[in-house]
Amino acid sequence: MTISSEDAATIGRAIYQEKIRDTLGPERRGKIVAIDVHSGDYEIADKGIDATLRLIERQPDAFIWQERVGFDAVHSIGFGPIQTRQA
Amino acid sequence: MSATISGAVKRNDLGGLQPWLSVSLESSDEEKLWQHDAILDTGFTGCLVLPDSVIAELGLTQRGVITLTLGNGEEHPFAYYVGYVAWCGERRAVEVLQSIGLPLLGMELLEGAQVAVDAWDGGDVAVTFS
Repeated sequence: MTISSEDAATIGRAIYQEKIRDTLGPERRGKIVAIDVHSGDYEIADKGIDATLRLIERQPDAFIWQERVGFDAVHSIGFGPIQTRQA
Repeated sequence: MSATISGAVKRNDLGGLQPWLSVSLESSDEEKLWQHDAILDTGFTGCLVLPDSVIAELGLTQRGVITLTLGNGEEHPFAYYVGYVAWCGERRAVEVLQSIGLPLLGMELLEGAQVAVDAWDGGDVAVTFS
């Protein structure tokens, strides 16, 4: 089921911040977390495509929101990565 | 064994030079390979950005949303798809981001390669994996 980018961002960020982020140690910094915004199921990998394929294998209808651990965005075009500010 | 993907530098309508490469993309039914040109963009950290018309032609299904930091520092969400490219003799799964702009080929797809660009109109572009 497809949902809007805005809704995926809202739900995906909430799942990441409330359920996943605090379980990740510093060794996970820079890795990609792919989250199914419907089920909350997720996968972690060095590359987004690997996390995506593993998650789809388990959740074929997943609609995925990605986070890069410790950073505000997953990729950049013509700009350096922006570290997430500590709350 | 090394493999080289060749392309050419072209001057665009604004007078700027852009290095183009040809990419073979699989249709979603895996029955057809489409050749599409993309600009080699070393400032893009992902794999591929393709226009929505090409994504529709390939019949890809949206898998979700990825956020990018753009050149002005702003974050922007992009719809993303899983596609398959024929890349150096291998079938490789890649993330494809949807855009209304030009097709881009980024550093994640180039990782491990030697990239050579003759930066003049008509110059050679060579991506070599050894």
